Amino acid sequence: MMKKGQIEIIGLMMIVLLIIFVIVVVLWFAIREKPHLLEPQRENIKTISILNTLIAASYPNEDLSIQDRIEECAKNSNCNDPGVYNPTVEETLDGILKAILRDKDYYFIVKDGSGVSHIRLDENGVDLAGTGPNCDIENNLRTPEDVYIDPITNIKASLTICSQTTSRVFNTIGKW
Amino acid sequence: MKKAQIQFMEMIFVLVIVVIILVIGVFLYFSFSSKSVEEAGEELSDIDVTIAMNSLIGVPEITCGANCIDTLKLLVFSNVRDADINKEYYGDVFRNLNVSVSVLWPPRGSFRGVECDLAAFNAAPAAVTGEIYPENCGFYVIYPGKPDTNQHSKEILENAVSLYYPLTRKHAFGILRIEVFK
Repeated sequence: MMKKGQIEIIGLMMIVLLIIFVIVVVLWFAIREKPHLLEPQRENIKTISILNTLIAASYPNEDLSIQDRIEECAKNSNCNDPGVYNPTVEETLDGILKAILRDKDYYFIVKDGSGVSHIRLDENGVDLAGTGPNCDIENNLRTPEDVYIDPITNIKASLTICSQTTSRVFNTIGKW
Repeated sequence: MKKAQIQFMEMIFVLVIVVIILVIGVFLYFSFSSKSVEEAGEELSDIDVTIAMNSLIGVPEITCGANCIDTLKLLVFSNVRDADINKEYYGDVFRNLNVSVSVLWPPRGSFRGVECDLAAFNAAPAAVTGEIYPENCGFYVIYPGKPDTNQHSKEILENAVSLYYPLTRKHAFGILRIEVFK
């Protein structure tokens, strides 16, 4: 049989433990990082605008746009044929992408309707092995949909930028 | 001490502890709620600026289509914007944001820091390299917003935008930059 004092001490301990538990729960909810609901949508918009702006730009020293040149070379399957263009369309695009996406990890690919890829570029240049993006795909930022280069032949372009580097692309002055 | 005195002191201690716990609780509640209000404010501000960013490209005075800015219109726009009769109107449209657009590709090299204005447009070929407009400049100021005296921090938002040169009918890759003063 416990004395009255012992019962009071146990009661006090229970109250203290309850208060500590409540404080821990409140702090856990308050401190934990809340997900940014708009961030994925915003990054998708940014990526798609990079891709659209890129293909709308004029091809170096020509009146054609990059989109026109990609369409032409993809239809003729000569995007990386040095006998037709020197430097090749793929090499030219590599230089443009490097100039635009400085120090960023990216993957640019052009495919036709049958799934054949005509251009495969990453931050290291031409992706000869076709291994895809070098960064963790789970954390990647990708265009929400592929952009049509030519809807008739179903030639599409897509751009993937590592999300870790995308915030730098848009938020750091002087980086771009 | 008598038993009654001890019980009285015990009650006072309990009251003091309860008051301390209440004060801590109220402090935590207000500090976290003010933090969440700040976060909500930033989120709303972000939404506001994101909307502004998309709508600014569509201003008829400078646009040439979806996600496209006409550089020739931009050159003329600076005169229209700065006219006394238009200052208030464009102040409302651009909400005192500092809006500019830089040419990222084709690269402008040493001219990257030179503003593209009517002076650059009319300038003679560069001394050594012979560049003329648009190769002799690297950025356009769309609206030179100035912060109020009580706005001390700024956030920079950037997005890709196509720059159209009607005289050569070519497009460049540009970066629209909006500085938001808070």
